[in-house]
Amino acid sequence: MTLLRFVRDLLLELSDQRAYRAHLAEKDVPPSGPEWRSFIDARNRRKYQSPKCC
Amino acid sequence: MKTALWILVALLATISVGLIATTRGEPVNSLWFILAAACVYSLGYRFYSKFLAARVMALNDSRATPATRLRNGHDFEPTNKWIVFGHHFAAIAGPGPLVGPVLAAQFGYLPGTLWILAGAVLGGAVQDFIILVASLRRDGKSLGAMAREEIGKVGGMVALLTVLLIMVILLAVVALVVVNALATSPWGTFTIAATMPIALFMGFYLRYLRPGRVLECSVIGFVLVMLSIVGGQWIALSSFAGFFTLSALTIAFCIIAYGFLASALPVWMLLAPRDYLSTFVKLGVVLMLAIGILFVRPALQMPALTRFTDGTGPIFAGKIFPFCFITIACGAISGFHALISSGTTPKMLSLETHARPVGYGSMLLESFVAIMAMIASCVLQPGVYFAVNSPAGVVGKTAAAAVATITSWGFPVTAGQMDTLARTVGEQTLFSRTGGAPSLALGMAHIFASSGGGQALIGFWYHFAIMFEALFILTIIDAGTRVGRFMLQDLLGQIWKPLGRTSWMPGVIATSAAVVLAWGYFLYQGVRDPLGGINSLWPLFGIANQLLAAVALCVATTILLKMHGLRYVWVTGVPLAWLVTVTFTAAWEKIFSPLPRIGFLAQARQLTLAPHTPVTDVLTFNARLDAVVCGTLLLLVAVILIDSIRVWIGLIEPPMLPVAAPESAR
Repeated sequence: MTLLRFVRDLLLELSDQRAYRAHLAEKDVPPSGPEWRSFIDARNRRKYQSPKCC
Repeated sequence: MKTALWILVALLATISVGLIATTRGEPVNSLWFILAAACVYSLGYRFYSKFLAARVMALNDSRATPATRLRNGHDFEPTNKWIVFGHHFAAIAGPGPLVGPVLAAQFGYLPGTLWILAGAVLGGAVQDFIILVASLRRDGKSLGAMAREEIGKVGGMVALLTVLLIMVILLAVVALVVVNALATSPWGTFTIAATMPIALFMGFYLRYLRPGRVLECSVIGFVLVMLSIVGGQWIALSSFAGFFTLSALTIAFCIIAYGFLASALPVWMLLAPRDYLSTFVKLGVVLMLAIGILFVRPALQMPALTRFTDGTGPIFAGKIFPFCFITIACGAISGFHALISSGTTPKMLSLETHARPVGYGSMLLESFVAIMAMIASCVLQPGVYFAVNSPAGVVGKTAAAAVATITSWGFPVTAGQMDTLARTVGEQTLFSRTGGAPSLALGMAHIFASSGGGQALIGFWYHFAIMFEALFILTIIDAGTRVGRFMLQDLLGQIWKPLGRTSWMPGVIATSAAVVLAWGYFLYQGVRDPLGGINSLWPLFGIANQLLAAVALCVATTILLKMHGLRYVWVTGVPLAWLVTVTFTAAWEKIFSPLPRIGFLAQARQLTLAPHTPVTDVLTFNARLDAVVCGTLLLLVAVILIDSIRVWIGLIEPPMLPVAAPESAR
């Protein structure tokens, strides 16, 4: 894995865009506002169930 | 060839640590610290973590991980190990490894540096790694669930209570760091206030304008934040400065109100966009700081050991043992990491062997951040460091009194020097800016300005560093308040169902208010404390965090006993014994020390002897409340430990063999 590819993939992971792409691929639907909102609402519900580290 | 290379690394580690430990009376170049850290971490990773992975946890890639077995495209998803590494590091790195070393630098650079190096390699990274593997083999279960399963219901309940208590203290102490950084600072206050409309704009941008374009939105957010730093300087010099020149108490109330609002608002509106921004800024600044230190190679001005090793330190009272070891938690060992290691991370690992770089390696990187924070705070002249970090209640309320006191300690500083420095960074004063953030920002600004831009940009870099610290502290505050609200709703929902519904607004408002009031009270108490709230709140936070680490190490020890019997129990048993000793001693001293600056009860006794005023009554109550909180933490350590020992005895004792019946009875 090249450094640039690593940086790009890490940014995609941290920005939830990698998970969104997987979500779209799994459901076989194109990106859209409603699709993003339903994806990110469900993801945020899980993500913010635990406290941020100190 | 490889053996020769590792012998060379070991030699370099010995030389650099030896030089750091033995140099007296002369500044030490920061490169020695970088070299010592790099060599110690390399040796720890190459040899100790390999031993842990191969022998102790016996990692095996043929065993399917939860990410592959339970893959669902959301929580459970096999991910490249370096991506998981970055994700895990971003999750564990908070203000702790930055602020703790800055405060502990009052003892000199040596005690904190040695604890960061040894604590991370032998304790923190071990805890993070073993809990990660344990969770990996239990379908990604949380620390609380593992405590319940491995130790029992009491262990699980203690883990839950500890998390709640630590959160209240954590939120109060990190909020206090922000309050002290922003008090009477129009530049800083404007910049941080501007991050709120920026985050709101990002929230709406992501939700409605360009859904899903998180990176694009974060770049826009970052540019706007940079502009707000520049705008802050203009505000500070304009007639609007008065609007943003707020007292510590006013800022504390603003943060309390903000915490309440942020917890009740939808996540997408404020919390999530700022979380993205703070994560990227955090990673970027850590990288910038590392490059800056390598480029500038500043010399540390702080001596190896100061006179405050005797426990009379102005920033917080108490001797090196135990207080250095609870002041620096996250850079050496942090119980909070066990929550991350048993949270998202185990659900992303595609192979068991990836747990070694992710669990052990990430903690070493976090420890390196703590070393950088130690360097950044120690490059300041010690007189300046103590003038910034010492509360007015200790050094005196006027500049003349403060410089006279600090100079009498052997750390010369002048009022003119402090005044020039304050004007250079665009502040009204830098005296008694306790909490660690301003002195860290000064050190970082010095390193950044020396790397490029020169002294002309030092004000920008100072406020950039303050913004960087405040940005993720505010994210911790709203995320923590929200999680506390969920926990409380979960609990209260069992008494009256509507209170448990996260969609029922009155319930949301009531529980948000309860959580905010809990940490808000401690924050208010910290702001009013004449000795600087850090003196009482940071040790409480350190004790709570180390208690959580003790819970995690109890779980890990139980698992090792079940796996190997007594053979490898020392791996977690030794750090556990150390932490229990440290936590017990610190908690005992904080409650019962006869010295009012250390012991809460002695402080309350002293206050009752003073003339009665409403203020002394409140301070007396606060000191007693802190003693109760500390006592509760002590009790929780005792309960979890006794419960664990009960389980361990059962595991060690050989099973009773059936007694053969006597011949005559046959």
